[in-house]
Amino acid sequence: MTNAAIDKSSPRSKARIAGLWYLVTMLMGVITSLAGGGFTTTLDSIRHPSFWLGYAADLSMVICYVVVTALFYYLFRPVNMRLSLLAAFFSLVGCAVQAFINVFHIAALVLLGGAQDSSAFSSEQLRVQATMSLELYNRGYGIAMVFYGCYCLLIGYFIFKSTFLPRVLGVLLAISGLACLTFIIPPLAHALYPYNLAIDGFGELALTLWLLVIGVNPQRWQEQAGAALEE
Amino acid sequence: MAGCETEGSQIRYARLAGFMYLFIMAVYLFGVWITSRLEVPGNIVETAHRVVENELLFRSGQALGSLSALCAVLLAVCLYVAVREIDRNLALLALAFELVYSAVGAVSQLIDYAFLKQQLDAYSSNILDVKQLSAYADLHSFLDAAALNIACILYGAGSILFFCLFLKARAIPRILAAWGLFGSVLVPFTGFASIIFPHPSKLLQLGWLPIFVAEVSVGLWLLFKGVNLRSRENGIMDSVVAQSTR
Repeated sequence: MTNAAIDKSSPRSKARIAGLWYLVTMLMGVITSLAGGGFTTTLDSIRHPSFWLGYAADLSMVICYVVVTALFYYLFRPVNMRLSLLAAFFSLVGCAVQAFINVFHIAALVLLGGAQDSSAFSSEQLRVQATMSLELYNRGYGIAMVFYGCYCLLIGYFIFKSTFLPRVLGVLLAISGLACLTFIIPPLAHALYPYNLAIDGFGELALTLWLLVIGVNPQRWQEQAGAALEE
Repeated sequence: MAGCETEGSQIRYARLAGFMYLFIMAVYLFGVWITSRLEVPGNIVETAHRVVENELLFRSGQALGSLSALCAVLLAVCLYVAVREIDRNLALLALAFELVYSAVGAVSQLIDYAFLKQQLDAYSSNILDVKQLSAYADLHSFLDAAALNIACILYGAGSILFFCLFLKARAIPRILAAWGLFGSVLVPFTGFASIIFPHPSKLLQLGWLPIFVAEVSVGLWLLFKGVNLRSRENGIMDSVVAQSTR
């Protein structure tokens, strides 16, 4: 690792910026759910004008999470540079999946919105196809959650091994990661819903608030960065 | 000595980035041209008939789309290496956006393959009637456009950051960097507007024009002129001074 690789400028401010972006990400998630977007979308909500608000919030959430990923990569590089890069890849794959699955909402909208030749299929056939599109979105969402789960697990490990953040946050985030990983077996995730998402949200919210209000200990961050340089 | 090697490597990557800008555009447009030659607007039966007769050609056109998504990764890495000395964090963020864009772009090719398979099977086995085939073709074009627009929103975010760094570093003429920045800012807006209004007006389609012009001109500049390291050093000095005074 070179000197340039670890930028020593104000880790606390970067941690706070990361916390802010994380908070915006979570807010976008809440807006998505309230507007009937994301995995809460139903055949009825997709026809409602607020669907577009949920849709925009869902895509914005992905964009914000890419920023969070880049900032966390910077923040946890001193703990383990290679694993930090691996964690970033997990998150980016999750982001790509989550961005792509929005296409299935458009599919349901096209099928129900009459953008096609409406005489080609009966209304029942269109409903079945639209329901399948929403189901595909939910399956894709589960796939994205598995990648986010691996990411949270690694971030939890970094926090636990770091000297600049409290270990309890690392434990909470690792539990969040495990909650996300329940999506690897969809029936299990379905059985545990909504508790798995609540557990995930709790750990992530705790980290967000800590970063936003307290940030990281800059002296200890620089000590760990210095130790990483010597390795 | 190491500094010279680094500079040489950065110039090579910048030139490669210039080449990739032009190559991706050429490959993508060639792919679109091939597939559009086989499509008969408003006549799905004739289109399916032509596709069956020229299946290899049609698949080649679609494969070029996949190739352009793959090359986008190479372009992103080249741009990252060329600008990372200006601001490593922003360059990394831009790279992250471009990687997500490439992944979405590559996966969206699946829509094409899935619909191609479905339409060819349905056409050959007469499972669907003409109206149903036509409705599926409409759905295909909507989804294809939606996937492209979602990918472009992410691409725009990365492109904004890369052109910001070019502008900050003065590595290419400022007018080119500023035009690229302007074009990049329009991309996410145009992409999102195109999703909301699936039958976009010609005015909305003009939103793609600035980034097209910017990428061709910046691509040519990087390919033939490379990056101006002296100007870029000044840019780096500016950013170092700015960071030290913070």
